[in-house]
Amino acid sequence: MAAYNKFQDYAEQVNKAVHNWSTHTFKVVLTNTAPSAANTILSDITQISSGGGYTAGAGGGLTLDTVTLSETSGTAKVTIADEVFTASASVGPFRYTPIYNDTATSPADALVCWYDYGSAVTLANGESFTWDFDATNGLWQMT
Amino acid sequence: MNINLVEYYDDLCAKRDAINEKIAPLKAKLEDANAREQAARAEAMAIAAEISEIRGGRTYLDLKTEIQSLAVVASKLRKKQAAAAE
Repeated sequence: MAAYNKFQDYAEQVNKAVHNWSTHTFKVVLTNTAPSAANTILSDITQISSGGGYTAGAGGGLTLDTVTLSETSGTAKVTIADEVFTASASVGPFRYTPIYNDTATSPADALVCWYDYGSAVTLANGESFTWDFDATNGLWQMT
Repeated sequence: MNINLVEYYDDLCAKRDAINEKIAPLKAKLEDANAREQAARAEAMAIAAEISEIRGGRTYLDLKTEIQSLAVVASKLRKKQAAAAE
């Protein structure tokens, strides 16, 4: 089970309407360098190199295409359907997978959180990696 | 002493009013920018709803769940096929 970690700046940016979970595009990137909770934007992250179906750099990563914002009894929740990435050549190693907002412009590519998988993962050609997001508690809640 | 306090109070109010007078044009600009932002947000929400409609909501989630459950098996089969082809 991957460990969830929040980027501290997210708490501020979400209250400045930098993030809109209903309309913005959120992406997940791969890195083997431990992020810091003090990181704020994608360029703070050292991504793995492009290749094998993975695209690094600004605007890089994999799009989370099923992000849902809901509200029940005063608690807002963001849930994301599991994402599957299949490598077309060797990808990695990577241990951390930060999530950022690709739509945000000020700050650009604002970071949200990251998952720590505990040890480095390397995908061979044809191997798949699944982000098994918590369907019950979601990625993030606000009460 | 009381008279001085009243004068001091009036002075503070005058400073406040001067600041508010100075920022009045900026407040108008801010209101305009916020109105444009709200309009853009409403447009984005409408487009997002259209995308969601095309995906079919639950149907798309079921599709992704099926992909996830088959991903590992498909990976292994691909590798076997590739090995057999060599």
